[in-house]
Amino acid sequence: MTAAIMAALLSGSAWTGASAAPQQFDCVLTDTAEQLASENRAIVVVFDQSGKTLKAQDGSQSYSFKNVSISNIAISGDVDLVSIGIDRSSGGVVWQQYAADKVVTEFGHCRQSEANR
Amino acid sequence: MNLSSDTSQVEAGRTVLKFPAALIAARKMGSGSQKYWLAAAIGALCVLAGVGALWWSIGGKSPIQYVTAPVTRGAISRTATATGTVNPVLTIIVGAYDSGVIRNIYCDYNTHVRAGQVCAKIDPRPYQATLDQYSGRLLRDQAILEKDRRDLARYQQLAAQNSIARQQAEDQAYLVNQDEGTVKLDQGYVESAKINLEYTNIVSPVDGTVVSRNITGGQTIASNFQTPTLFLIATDLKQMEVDTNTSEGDMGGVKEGDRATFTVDAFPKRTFQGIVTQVRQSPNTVQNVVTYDVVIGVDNSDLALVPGMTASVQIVIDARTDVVRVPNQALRYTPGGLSAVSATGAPASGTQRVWVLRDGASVAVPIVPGLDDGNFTEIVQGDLHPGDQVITAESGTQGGSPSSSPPPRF
Repeated sequence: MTAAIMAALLSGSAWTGASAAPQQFDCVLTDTAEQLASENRAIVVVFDQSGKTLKAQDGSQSYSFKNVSISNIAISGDVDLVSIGIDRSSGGVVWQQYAADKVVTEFGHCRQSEANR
Repeated sequence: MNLSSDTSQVEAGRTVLKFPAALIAARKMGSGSQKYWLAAAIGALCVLAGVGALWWSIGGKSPIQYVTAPVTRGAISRTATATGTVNPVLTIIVGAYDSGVIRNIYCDYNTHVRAGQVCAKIDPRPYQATLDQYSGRLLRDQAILEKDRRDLARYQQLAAQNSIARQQAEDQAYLVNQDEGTVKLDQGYVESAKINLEYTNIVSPVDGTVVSRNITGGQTIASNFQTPTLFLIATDLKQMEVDTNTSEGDMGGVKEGDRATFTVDAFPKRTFQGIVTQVRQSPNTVQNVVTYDVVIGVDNSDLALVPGMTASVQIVIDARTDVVRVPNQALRYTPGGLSAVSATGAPASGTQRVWVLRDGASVAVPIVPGLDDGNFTEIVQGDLHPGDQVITAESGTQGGSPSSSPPPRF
């Protein structure tokens, strides 16, 4: 039980602690209103707080975000018709795609990548 | 009169001659010499009197020295000064429609957001549960409606065959109508629950920049009593405005489209340019001082201006370029002080005069003044030309006040 709590705290510190090296996170977009659980998508997010860069890999599509904002509370950026926002304390992520008449919003959760540990 | 008996006395064995006795002795030297000395004394007195009169006339009253300034050609602008605050053109207050616990925050200070971007998420589970309840009730009532409709069709058929009472078929028809109403009510509840669930997403309604975040994760939002402000989003920080407190005394000249300049403490050597975009009619009264909000639109492409900065604004009420102008001191100057004005006569109504130094003498020139910017006054009419030296002060006279500027000329 104690070990699990420690692991959770360490995992959480990856979100809130400042680190000079780029950080990679594995995210799963889980819930849209019309989406079944089997249709969950996995994306990889890499951000560099010192360089203020934010990139994401969604399947074969890669994004290098602009208007990047990285604080101790949230990470966000947008490029073209896509925006991303990540809550650093909870790991919650919102992925939005903007069309002319509607916005498709996907929520999910991110976890620190094994490569960072 | 026996002079010798009372002017010669023998004191201690020597003879002492008193003044009457000396005069008698001089007389004894001869009457021609006496006349010579008297004439010399009178001549010396006359010379002394002449020198004194000359010194009095020259040394006691020094020549007048004039302080002049040149007539120039240039621009004049009359301005109204005011202080103001730099603000975004439009700041959106993002609140919450739902109550609940903030589950996630996706935006922070300075985050650039798009219209429709989710900035925070309220725990949706209570609202999802409500939606599920209403959805279930809708399904149930839709099933009841379907059953009652089939019964109605069946009863109508039987009533037509006179197998059942007509009233039974009619009662079934009313029941179907009730069911339809119930389903419609359920559909409304479901839609309402969907909307409430959708409102758990705190969404930016505009493209902009988050200038304030007033929530933290885990915070409980109670929207029932007072709508909380979660975020302030400035629409476009590249277009700013300065809200000024302009004195009511300046309001007569200020109008939309006037040019304005201002400085901020952060950039003391930089002058920002703006345009009056709005003159608001609503007065602001603080301690009996009435001011009005004159809005200055400013281009902030380099994002140098930040919301909240204090601006010292000058609104150009009127401006002239390439006009003949004189320093304002020249209009205030009167030779010999105010007492001399009555002696020389006042200028005609609507005109003034300035004094110009021409050929070493001061000459009064009638003028019609125009725009005044506090330092210079435009000359609308008058025999003044660039390069003329107008008198601004004089020194060296009893009535003249010495100028603080270095004594020039003349």
